[in-house]
Amino acid sequence: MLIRNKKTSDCSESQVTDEFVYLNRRQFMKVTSGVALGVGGIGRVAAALQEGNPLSPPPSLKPSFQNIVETAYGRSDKISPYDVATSYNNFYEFGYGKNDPKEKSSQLQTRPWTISVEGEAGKTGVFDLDDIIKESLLEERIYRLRCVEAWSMVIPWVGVSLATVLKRFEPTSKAKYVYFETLHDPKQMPGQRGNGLDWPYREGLRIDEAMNPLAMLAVGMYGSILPNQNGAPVRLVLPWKYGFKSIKSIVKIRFVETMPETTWSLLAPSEYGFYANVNPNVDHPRWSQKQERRLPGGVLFPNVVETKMFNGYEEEVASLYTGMNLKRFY
Amino acid sequence: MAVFWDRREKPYVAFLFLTPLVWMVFSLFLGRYFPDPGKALMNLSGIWASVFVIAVLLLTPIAKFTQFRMISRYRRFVGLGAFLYSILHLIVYLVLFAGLSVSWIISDLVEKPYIYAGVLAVMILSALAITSTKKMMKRMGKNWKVVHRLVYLAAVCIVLHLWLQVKSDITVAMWISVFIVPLLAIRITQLSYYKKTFKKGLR
Repeated sequence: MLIRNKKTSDCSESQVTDEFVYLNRRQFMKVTSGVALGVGGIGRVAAALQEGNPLSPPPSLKPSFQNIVETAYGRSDKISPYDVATSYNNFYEFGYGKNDPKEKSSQLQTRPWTISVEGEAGKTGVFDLDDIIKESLLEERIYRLRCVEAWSMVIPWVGVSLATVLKRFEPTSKAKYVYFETLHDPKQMPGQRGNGLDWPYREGLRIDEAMNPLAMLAVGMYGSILPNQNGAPVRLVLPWKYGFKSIKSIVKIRFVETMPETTWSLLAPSEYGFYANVNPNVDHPRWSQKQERRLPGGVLFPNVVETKMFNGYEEEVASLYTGMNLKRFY
Repeated sequence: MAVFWDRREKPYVAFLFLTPLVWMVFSLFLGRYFPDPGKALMNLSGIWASVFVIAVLLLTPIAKFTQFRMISRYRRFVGLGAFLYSILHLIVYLVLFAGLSVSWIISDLVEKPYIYAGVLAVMILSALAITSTKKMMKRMGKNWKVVHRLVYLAAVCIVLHLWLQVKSDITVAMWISVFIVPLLAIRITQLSYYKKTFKKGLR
């Protein structure tokens, strides 16, 4: 038996610096000096305090997906904090404000969820989401998301290639386009009680765009299920197009012969085109598209970066548009 | 300073006018506008600038048609408030929104019509602020009034600036127009006055 005689000069247990704190000294110094300088860090620190851990989803969501296949997509980009990606959203079904989707989307019931598949395809009907996207197929891809309002984020999505899903419905040779629709239910989506947009939200792709390997059908982000404000339970992710093309909370997929009408191009055809490819050389009438604010920025200075052609995915998608006048077919 | 603080209550009024600014700076550093502070603050400062322009347009009719005649003594003060928030709006755009990126600012300046309207409004409000002192009033004589009626043009610019950039949420543009348009409309009778001064030219 070890008998210890405590000397008065010995430290008590409570005085010993915690190993975690000791090891994180640099981090601690960084944060405190940031605060002391009164620049840059404060906003982020404050936001972190407000929202909890800003970099990853809350533990309650954490175990949602197992065995996600990692991919090489976007490994070099710095991922936006979870809190930013889930609290700064355009989802007009829940309101115009960037905070509205987070605040007003809790009523949305995302399980069970069915998608009705229609039109020029061998297999049509109403399918359960769980039957369309099997968890065993999920992969993670880190994509840049560029909004037409000239801000952008980097988000790790969880989902499957859109082509994999669409091919299972056996589209016929008549299927030149594919059309998508968001849930229309003003009871669950308070923004639909007003008529800011012509509900339901509609989007479409040319079939070869939809079959491009980059196009993704996402059911999660940051390793967990999609939060309602980000388009739960299933949304498109088309990283080479402006964000509004990536339709959320999909309930309908229709294979069609002619170019479908899309919500934003119906509202303002001079401002929003069918293709909506990210293109620094084609300006939106109200927002210059040459640069973007990569979120989050600092308190005083935004993180301005140059916008790349097709949002930097030129290699993968440029061949879809060869010979097209991208100004006219914006 | 004697000219500026010619009334005892003015420091308190100034303090009142500065509260939105103080609140915005406070919130900014608390991270409340995170993660895109430029956008949030640009909206807020723009709204406050419009509110002060509405207020300044309201003062004359109120003084004319009610017993609160003394209120017109705050015209310069409220006008300077409009100037302050419009400059703030401009600074927020340049620094927090565009990150002082020259190419961003230039491409906006060259291509976006709503920017012209905004810039013109800020220029007018600045000119009015510079010429707002009693000294300038004396020096400019009759022309002072003519120049300061440019505030109506600034108000028109604000309405244009708002409507030309509406995406689909028209709330702000609508509310501000609801106040500005009637306040401009009741001055339509003064158009003939402008025609006359225009013909005669500034003396």
